[in-house]
Amino acid sequence: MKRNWLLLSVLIALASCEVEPQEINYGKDGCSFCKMTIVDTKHAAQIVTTKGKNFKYDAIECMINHLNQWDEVSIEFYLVADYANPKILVDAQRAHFIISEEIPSPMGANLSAFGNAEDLQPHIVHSSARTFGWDQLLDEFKHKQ
Amino acid sequence: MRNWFLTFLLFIISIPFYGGTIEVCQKCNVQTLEEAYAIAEPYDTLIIRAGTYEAIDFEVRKPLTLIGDIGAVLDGKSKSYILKILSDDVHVLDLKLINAGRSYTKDFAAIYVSGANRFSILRNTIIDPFFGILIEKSHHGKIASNVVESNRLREDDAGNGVHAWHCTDLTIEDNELSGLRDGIYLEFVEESLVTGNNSHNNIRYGLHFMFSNHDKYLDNTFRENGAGVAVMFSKFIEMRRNRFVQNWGTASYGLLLKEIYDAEVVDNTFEENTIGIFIEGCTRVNYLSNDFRRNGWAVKVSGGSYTNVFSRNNFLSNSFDVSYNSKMNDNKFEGNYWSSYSGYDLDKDNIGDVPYRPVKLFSYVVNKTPETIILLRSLFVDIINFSERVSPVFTPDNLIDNAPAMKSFSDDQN
Repeated sequence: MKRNWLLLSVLIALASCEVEPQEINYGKDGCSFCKMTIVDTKHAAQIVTTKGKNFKYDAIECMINHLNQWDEVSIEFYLVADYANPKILVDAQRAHFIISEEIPSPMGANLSAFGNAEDLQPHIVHSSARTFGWDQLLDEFKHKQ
Repeated sequence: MRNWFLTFLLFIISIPFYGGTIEVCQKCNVQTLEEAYAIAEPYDTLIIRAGTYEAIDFEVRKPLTLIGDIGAVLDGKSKSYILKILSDDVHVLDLKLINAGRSYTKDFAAIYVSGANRFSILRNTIIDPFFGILIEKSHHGKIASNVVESNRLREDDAGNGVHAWHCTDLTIEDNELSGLRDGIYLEFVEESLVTGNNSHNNIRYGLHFMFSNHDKYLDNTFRENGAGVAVMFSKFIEMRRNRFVQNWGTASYGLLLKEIYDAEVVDNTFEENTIGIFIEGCTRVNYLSNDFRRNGWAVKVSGGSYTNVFSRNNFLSNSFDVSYNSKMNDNKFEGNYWSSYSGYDLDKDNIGDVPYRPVKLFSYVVNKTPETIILLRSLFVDIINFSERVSPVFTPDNLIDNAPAMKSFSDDQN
């Protein structure tokens, strides 16, 4: 029994050092920025710092607003949920973003991400739709502030 | 009860003046909803007798009243919406709605209301929907005494029970909402009243405000939700006589307030929540005459909260009464009852002679490193709390209740 505990604590210690994304526990985890419980599998986001610290967000706009508050951070992974494949997080730097009134997002920015450009195509038809790459998106949010 | 009787009476009286009635049943001349709808004149009443009727995207585009008999069921066949209300003056009463569709990308609802004025949705039962009642860009509506229940517990593909978006002047009253994502969600909703609802066992919130101003919620119960109520980015919200009970969990609160201005939190009860009220970026909010019983944290104040007032509250047996994450304090705590107050009252004016410091040093440690919570009941922590109380170094110097009450405020005093 004692050895099990020891093993477990060693495992935990090791696990917490890994620079890896963590699974989002939908319905239980809270957003690191706005404190809302994360439930929307189509708009969640996550970042992992180079030191292995995990931050989970209920919306992509929360992640970007959080980034804007920090001075200098070194981040290993930027991840956003793929709108077309709920629950699946994709690399934000290679994702395609859309701001469209047709798709409301949890924090009111109407911002969604797509892993594949083809999945994004059918949504562009809406009159309010604007598409972005990752860098353009960061610029867009900087100008808003 | 009398209200119902009056409403009922009004309906009975209004029927003869407002056109005819059409009966729908298996043995009547009119056997389907489509037929009945086709022959109905505006302001007619459809009486739906017992039986199961197929209703897939059933659109109501003229003023109508739909009344269900006991045993009247609308079956959506798990396709899409069941009932769509797209006209003014539509009333839906006493129906049971089952098998609404589900979708990741479309917000299917059992009852969908869009661009309608003066509608009412009363005493309906909605079983296992995606969204229960979804209302968009509609005004002057009443949603009362409905039951919306879903069994999607601990799953994230649930919709909300009552979801209103860009609406004004809604009354949401005496509904029973459970097993949903949010019991009630108000987004861009103004001048509305939420009262007497029982919202429990929902995955996220019992009630959720987002970008909504000038609303009230009174006399509701929020039990065992992911978190009781979240009020975010809203102004002039009145919160009175609600009960927030057993909202437990790591990201769980009785009441979550974020970016709120000019609100009133009065006469509420917070019982056995992980955090009674979590406050971030809230200004000019009055917290008066609330009861905080046996919460982990009664009140947790995070950054950027100014000129808030806490007065005449009862803080009873909470692990932490107030927790702060900064040394600055611009909020007023005065004249509350603190069950852990150990001062005395020599002049017998029912006000403690020694000020009370509600923030324990240990709460700062827990803020920084949550795992230290296991030390909560240890002697060492008692010692550092005591020494900090005697000569404060870390806790905000002016965060003091200068007039702590010696007796708890009972209801008749409030």
